[in-house]
Amino acid sequence: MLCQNCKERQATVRFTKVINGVKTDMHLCEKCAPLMKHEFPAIKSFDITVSDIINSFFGGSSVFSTTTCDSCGASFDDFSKTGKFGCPECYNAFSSQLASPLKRIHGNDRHIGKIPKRAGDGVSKITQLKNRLAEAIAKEDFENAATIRDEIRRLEGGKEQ
Amino acid sequence: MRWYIDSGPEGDIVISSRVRLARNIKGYPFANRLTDAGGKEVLERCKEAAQPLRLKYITMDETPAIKRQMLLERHLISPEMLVATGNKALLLSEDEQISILLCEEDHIRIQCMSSGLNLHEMYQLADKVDDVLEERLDYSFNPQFGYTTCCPTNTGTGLRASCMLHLPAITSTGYIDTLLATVGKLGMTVRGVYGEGTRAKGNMYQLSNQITLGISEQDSIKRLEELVKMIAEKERSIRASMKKENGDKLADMIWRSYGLLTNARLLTSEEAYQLISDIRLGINLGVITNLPIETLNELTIIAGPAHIAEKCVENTRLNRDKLRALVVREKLNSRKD
Repeated sequence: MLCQNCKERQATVRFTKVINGVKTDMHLCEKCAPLMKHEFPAIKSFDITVSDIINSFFGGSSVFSTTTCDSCGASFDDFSKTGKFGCPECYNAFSSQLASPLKRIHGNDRHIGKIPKRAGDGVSKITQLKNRLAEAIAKEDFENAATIRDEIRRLEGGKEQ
Repeated sequence: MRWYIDSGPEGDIVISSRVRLARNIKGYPFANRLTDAGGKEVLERCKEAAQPLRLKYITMDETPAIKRQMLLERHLISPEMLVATGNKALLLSEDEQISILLCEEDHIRIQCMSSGLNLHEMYQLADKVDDVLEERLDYSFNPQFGYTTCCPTNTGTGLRASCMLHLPAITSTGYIDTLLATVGKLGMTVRGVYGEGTRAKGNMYQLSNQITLGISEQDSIKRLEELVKMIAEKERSIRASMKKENGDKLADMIWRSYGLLTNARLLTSEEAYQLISDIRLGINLGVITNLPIETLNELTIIAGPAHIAEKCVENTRLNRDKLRALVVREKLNSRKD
C-alpha cells in the first residue's frame, strides 16, 4: 500500500486515532509519519532503539515482579527497563518469566543448535531430546519428531504410543 | 592479502562475510556490571584460554582513539568498543581474519571474517575457535535457552552472521525500500554500512540474521546465504538492464566519477565512498577494465577518516580532504601502466 500522504513511497507505518468512538486509520511511510505529528500526537520520534523494543516486549504487559537475581542483585524490573541481563544466572532466576517474551523476539523459546562440550555436560538427555524435537518440528520432519517424542515419553516413564 | 582487500566468491556484489558468536563465562556478571577486578580477571582468563590460537592481545585502554577508529574502519572492532572505557580488549590473528572482542557487551565475542560470500567456512572457523576457548573456560549455558547473553536478542546460539553487499542498482531504482521492509519479515535485518538511516553512503549494506533462538547455526547461515544470493541475483539483473537500456548514460556516469576521483584536489570521505561505488559498478559491468577490484577495496580502507587522520600532520578538515584526494590519486595513477 502506498503512503497516504506522499502517495509515492510504500507505507510502512499505520496509525489509528480514536476520538469519541470514531476510528481513523492512516497508512504512512517512514518519511511522512514524523510530518503528521500534529495529527497524531503519539508520534514522538522514529529513533527507536533496540532497548525500547525489548522494553516493550518485557515491560508493561507483565504483572509487577519482585523477582531478583541472587547472583548479581538485578531485579526483573531492572531487566525490563534496560533490556539487558545482569549476569548469566539471571536466566535461571527469571526463567519462568522469560519464555513468552523471548518467544516474542525470536518466535521460539527453546535453543536449537550447538551445545558446548563441557558446559553442556549437565544438560540432561531429556532436554537435549526436547531441543531436537523442536528442531525436527521446525524442519517439518514429523516422522523423526514422532520417534524423538516417543523416546522422551519412554525416558519420562510415560507410556509409548 | 587481507580479507578486507581481497575479492571473494560473488565478489561483484558480496564484499565480505562475517560470523560472530557471543559467549559468557560462568560466575561473572556481564561486562556492564563487572567490577574493575572482575574485569581484569575475565580478560586474563580469556587471554590464557586463547593461547593455543596465538593471537595478538590489544587492550583498548592503551590504544589511542585514532588507532581504535582505524580498527573500526577495518571492521575489527565494534562501534561500542570505540568509545568504551575500562577493561576491554581485542585478540587479533595475524591475518586479521579472527578477532575476539573481550568484555564488550558479552565477555567474549568471536568474529571470523572473510572476503566475498563465505559464511559456512567462517562459521566452521568460529566454531573451532569456540571449542578451543571452551576447553579452558566454563561457559554459561542454559539447557532451555542455550548460550546466555547480556542482551536477549542474542540468546540461544549467540550467532550473528552478516554479509556486506554493494547494491548500487537496487538503491538507484528505489527497490531498496521494498527490500528493507521485506527482510524484516524473514527474521533478517539490513542497515547501511557507512552513514545512518536508509540512505547508505557508497551503496554498502549489511544484511544479517536477527533470530538466534530456536534455529540452529547451520540453518541461520543457510537462510542468510539464500537471501544474499537472491538479492545478488536481483542486483545483477537490474544492473544488466540498466546497461542494456541506458548504457551510454551509465558509462558516462561511471567515467565522470573516475575522472573526479583521479583529479579531485579535495575529497570528503562521503564523496570518496560514492565515487568508489560508481567505479566498482563500472568494473563489474566491464565498463572499466584496467583496474582490479582489490585496489578499490584498499582505497575504501585507506581513504577512511581515521586512516587519513593518522597520516595527517596538521589535522584539520581541509588538510584531511586534501590528503585523501592525494592518497586516492596516487593509488589510482600508480596503477595506470
